[in-house]
Amino acid sequence: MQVTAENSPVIEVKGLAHSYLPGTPLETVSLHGVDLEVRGGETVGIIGPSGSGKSTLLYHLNMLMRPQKGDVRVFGRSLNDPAADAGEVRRRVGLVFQNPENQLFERYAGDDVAFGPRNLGFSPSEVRERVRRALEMVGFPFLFKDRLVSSLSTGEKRRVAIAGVLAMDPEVLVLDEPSASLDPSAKNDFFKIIERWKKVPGRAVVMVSHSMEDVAELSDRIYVLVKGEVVLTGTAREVFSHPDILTRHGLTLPIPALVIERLKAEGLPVRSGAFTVEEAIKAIEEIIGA
Amino acid sequence: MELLRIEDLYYSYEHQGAGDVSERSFALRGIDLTISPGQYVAVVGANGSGKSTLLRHLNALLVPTAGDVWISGYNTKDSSALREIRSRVGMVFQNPDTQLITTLVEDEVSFGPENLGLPEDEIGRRVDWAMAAAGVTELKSRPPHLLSAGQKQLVAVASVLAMRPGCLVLDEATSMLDPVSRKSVLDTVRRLHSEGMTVVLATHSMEEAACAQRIVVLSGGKVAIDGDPHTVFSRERMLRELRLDLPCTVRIARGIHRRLFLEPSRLSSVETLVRAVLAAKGERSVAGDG
Repeated sequence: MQVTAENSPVIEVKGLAHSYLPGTPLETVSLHGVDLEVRGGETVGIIGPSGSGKSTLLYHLNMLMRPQKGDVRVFGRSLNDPAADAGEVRRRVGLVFQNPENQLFERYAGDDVAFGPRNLGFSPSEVRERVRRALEMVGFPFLFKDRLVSSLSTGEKRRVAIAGVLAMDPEVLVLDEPSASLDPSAKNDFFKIIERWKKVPGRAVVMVSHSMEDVAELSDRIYVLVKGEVVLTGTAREVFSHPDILTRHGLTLPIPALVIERLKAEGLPVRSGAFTVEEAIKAIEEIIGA
Repeated sequence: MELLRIEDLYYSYEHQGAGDVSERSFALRGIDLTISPGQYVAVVGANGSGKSTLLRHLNALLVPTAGDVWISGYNTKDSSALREIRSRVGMVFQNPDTQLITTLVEDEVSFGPENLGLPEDEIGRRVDWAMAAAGVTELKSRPPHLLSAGQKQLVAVASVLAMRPGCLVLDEATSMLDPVSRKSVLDTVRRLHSEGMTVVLATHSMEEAACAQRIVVLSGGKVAIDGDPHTVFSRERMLRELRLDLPCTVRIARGIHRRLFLEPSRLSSVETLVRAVLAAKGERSVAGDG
């Protein structure tokens, strides 16, 4: 495995444009020249209203789509290059779809996790080792491989699905709406798995979410995508200090920040920059006393 | 008379177990529930607690393994009453792809009323109203399968509304929507409720549940808590044991509750929390002035 230096770009998207049904009366432009960069070690959040092109953008990051216009570079290699190897890109950039538990198809959990490594042509003992490591990463003992997929809960199925992606040993994880339809504890478990996976230097996460709370809590940097264009980018602090732009485009502040903004609007001298429950508690205690 | 009456409802799924022996596992284990016309009920519970299975009994998509479900006096086991039951209870699912069948949004929304054999002008009126209520009027000439997940869900809501059901059942229908689309669906639901519609909504969002008059918490196929939002949110420890969480504003309120004059469990919206903080601040400056 090549080790990516912390902070060097792992994904560079430049001027990426995409239309569905191009050249027909039903042509719909999904992306209009998007620029995006992901560096080793980063968690990048992408937010945007429904139909803003978030999923289309994600599908380019592991070559499920090739650029119609513009360029996508993954670990320095342009996906426009006819020699770009989709298998290699998809191994290094693991994509976890919305509701990934719906795409489990094997009878036993272990076979589903083993599907990718087997297709990469690893020996049975290497496949076994990868399945063991991947199951452990999502918090299951190796023996979980013998469980029937049909007998698992949604949260367990989702962990098996992500183990299947982790078994490919990716360097970048791309997550499309990872927390939708998980109960609050399954969601916390899921984010802990991602944080633990990311501890290896150079690994990066790209996450699309409609939950402003999750994005505020987890992202180092955020891109706001609207109608196929990036309208805002920066740290959580920078992006969420533009509530006017966000609400104009179908987004909102995380709930704790919304509370703080409303208190400010009521004339209380509360400081900005609180995006999580803990930060909001601190900011309110400062004005009403602990 | 009650609209929905559920008596000692059991439901088991059959699935293939080890060695091809068929196994039955119970998703619902003795549910008793009565819902009056015009109520707004949220159903919450961890993944696998039986929410979707319960909701599917409300318009006879599933019939009880044991026990009874009555809709306006019709027993869902009586197959000759299906038409009566389904014209009263409209269902919106989590994944709109399972619900969309036509090639144009407008046809999708008119499909139901056309099948009821209504006059053309009545169909037109219903379709226009339903599309406006769900905010999809501008998508009317687009093919549903090329819309984003959020837009598709709004089309599914519109197509159910066009049937003018007395009871709207939503199974995690907002989990794929962006914040503003989610709000517009919830505002639509609230408006329909204020006009007399009965609403039953399953969700993982405690903020969404907090908008209901009554919250039913399921665990392991049984009703664990049934009460108004304040009653439910005052049982924090039990909620955590059931893999659930408190709404964001209640968690903030718990952090500062010593300074507030209201129990945190009553502060389940941004507005109520802001009012409580303002009251606490006012009290403190009055005391300070004195």
